[in-house]
Amino acid sequence: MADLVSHWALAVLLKAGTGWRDVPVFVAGSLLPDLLARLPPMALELVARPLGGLPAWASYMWAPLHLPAGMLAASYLLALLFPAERRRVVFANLLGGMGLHLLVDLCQDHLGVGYQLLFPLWTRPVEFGLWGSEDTVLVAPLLAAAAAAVWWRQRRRSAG
Amino acid sequence: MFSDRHRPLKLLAAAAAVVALGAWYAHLALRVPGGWWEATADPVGHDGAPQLLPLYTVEAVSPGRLVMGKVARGIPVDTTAISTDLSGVAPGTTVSVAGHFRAADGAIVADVVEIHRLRPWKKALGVLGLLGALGVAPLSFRWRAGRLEQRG
Repeated sequence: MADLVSHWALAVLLKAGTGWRDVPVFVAGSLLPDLLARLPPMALELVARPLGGLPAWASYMWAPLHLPAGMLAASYLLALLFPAERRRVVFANLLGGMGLHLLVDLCQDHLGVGYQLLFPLWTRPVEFGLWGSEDTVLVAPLLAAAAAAVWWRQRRRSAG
Repeated sequence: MFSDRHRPLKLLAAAAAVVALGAWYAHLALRVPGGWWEATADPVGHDGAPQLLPLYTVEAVSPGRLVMGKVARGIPVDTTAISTDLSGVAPGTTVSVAGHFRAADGAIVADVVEIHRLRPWKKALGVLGLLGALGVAPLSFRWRAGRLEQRG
């Protein structure tokens, strides 16, 4: 996964170039794969460590939420929490944000592993290997600054 | 599909799909052919089997040897066959290892070790992003009449 700040900034910048509607939902979608798939096992591990650690299956079972099948299910589940007339838009934006997240992550190189894009139908990992798994750290400040500038400009525009 | 008709059932079905995907993934992950779990269950049958430890945390360091963990813990890695400079690698460092399983001592003999020196920065950005999300979420969404709404 790329770092969370880069994911956040890229989602804002993409929305700025495509109409600036439903930005919070799209940005949420771009953060959720890491928040849903990485955060729970880390938190559970901290809780379970004094008790002997988390069982392996409990660590692994969150991973599909970082893959297309899990993203589809999670987007649909979350969209159902919104009013009926907003669900299609919310679903599309959540899924779009998650898709952007996965696309950025797919560009990384992880020493022989990757993402099982067609899980559960096909489990061969895929990765484009265009940059290292930590390289976004170097551009994150620039992306964050650009996203903040775009956000500020949009706020001023909507206020005026 | 997006209407209020049978909404509780749809919520339940979506949640069940998430759980089923997770259970199936965990089932497969614990049975990767030739992977660490299988190798340790049948060491002799997996002598020489290729092994990958992506983004594992170093638990202990001694000359020519690392002990690493992530989901599985206490994995011994023999680093005597590589020329990578491991200075600065300490408990807590994130590294990736490609190598092969050695049945004699249950260790992974490393062919490639990649040290992720920027990982602490990436983790810090992750915490920053998480705190930002927690701060912005209540400003962007609200719960009203049993539904989630986008503000503004």
